[in-house]
Amino acid sequence: MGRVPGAQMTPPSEVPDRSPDRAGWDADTALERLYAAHWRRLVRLSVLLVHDVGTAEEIVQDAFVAVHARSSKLRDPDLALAYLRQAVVNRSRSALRHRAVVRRQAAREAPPPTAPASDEPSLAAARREAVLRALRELPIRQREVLALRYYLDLSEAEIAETLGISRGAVKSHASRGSATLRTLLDVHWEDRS
Amino acid sequence: MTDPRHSDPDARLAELLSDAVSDVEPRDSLDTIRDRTKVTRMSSRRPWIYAVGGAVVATAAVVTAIAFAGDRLGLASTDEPAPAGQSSRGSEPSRAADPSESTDSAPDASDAPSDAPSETPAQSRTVAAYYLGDTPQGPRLYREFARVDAADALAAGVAVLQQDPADPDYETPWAAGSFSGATLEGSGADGIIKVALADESLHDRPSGMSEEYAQEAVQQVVYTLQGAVQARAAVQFTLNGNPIDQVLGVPTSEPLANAPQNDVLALVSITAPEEGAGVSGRFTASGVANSNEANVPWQIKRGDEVVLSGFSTAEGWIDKLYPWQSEPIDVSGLASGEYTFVAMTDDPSGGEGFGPMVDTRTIAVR
Repeated sequence: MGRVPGAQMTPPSEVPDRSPDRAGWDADTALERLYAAHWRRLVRLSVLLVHDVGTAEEIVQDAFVAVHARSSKLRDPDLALAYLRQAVVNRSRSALRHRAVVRRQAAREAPPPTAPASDEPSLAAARREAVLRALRELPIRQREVLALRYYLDLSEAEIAETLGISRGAVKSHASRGSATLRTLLDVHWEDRS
Repeated sequence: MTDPRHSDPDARLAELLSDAVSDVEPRDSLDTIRDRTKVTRMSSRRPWIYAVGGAVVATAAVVTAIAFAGDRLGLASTDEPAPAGQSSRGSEPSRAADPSESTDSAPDASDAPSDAPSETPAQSRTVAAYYLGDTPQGPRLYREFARVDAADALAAGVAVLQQDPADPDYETPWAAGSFSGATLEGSGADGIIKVALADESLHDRPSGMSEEYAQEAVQQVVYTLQGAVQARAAVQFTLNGNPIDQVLGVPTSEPLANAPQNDVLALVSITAPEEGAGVSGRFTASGVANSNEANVPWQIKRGDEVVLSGFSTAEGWIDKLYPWQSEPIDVSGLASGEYTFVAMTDDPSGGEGFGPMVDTRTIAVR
């Protein structure tokens, strides 16, 4: 699918007639603004959910492609961002379901290399890895709620909207999830290196 | 080392989570995204969406005809043998003139009792695919008509299970390569569809997948493959030619029947318009629903604003999903652009019965 490499190198400034289809409004420019503002943060959000940068990049790319097709959302940056968040969370969830399968298969063939490598990583790197691993231990919903609450700093109402669940459910996922996480991260809890 | 910070666990969690991904620097993908959004307009995946005139109409006609075939199947009660292609319901519309692809291919499949897909060259087929989507009552199956190239109808069913749904609100848990194929032994409702898992990796329910989700996923396979062969044949999951005792942790040693529609299906699904369809002048929406008093409210929204709304009436309600079809909806008064068509189940104010469920399609009004 990736044809015309580099053919669209126009800078993300005003490009009035690149997309003449919808009443003169330029979806591509809107998309570029969204990208500039949210690409990295959304990839990181997805990494918290799927624990893999390559997968996260693909997921967020897909989400941007999807929002581009929805000009009603694209016209309003807030709606667009809400849609992107939702798409990233949903697609991360699907990717996890697919991947759980692959991972178990791999685990059967070779023992999982969970032990830290001999060249001791820095304490900070170990802690990062521990946090990502701990998140992975949580049920998907709890992990999603925690990522939205503590990484994106969303309100309960926004999380409920994003996940399509009630605020009560958000609350209970958050409290159970953070309790578990705190236990799992025991040793890293106070380590401030 | 000790820090008073742990007295504020929320702040510490926020810090730990941000820190955990602070070293993630994703590759710049703007060019890739630009390329992909450019191509999407005329993409080979759904090339008819933005095409004009005749092509759109032709596709819609095929989909409608098949939709009726599918709905006829849906109407047959679960244990009543319903010969494919022959409705036992007098009330059925006389649209039974099925397009060749659906009725022709079911016998094909039954002719090949045991082995791999026959030598029939792949051709484009449209089949009813069921995908998981969220509802107020947890994950449920939504129906979408998908077009794939496949040698026979059953192969088409297996293919659509493993491909992304057109509607981004849906998902499928079956990754490409989950299944190695399927065969139909016998015919009609007495037949058995054997669907072969590629390997044993799908035996257990992955951590993080709810039991409910796993059951829906298994029923997704049952409903989709039954739809493909146009018969309520039982579905046997196999591995290396033998029945497998469980799939995603759901017991599967015996051939599985379809679970009652009210338990596994989203109670409203839109058949037409399709996701991304272009409409102009007047169009007719249709689908299936089980909604209070057979009322199926619909809306057309631009953003969050409802610009048109109405009701259609399904052919029945309570025990299962029934077909509904709107009166022609006049969109000639709407400015051209993108809208969302929404069909809902009616929410009875007393709170009895079914909660509201919703299906949506993005449409382009021209």
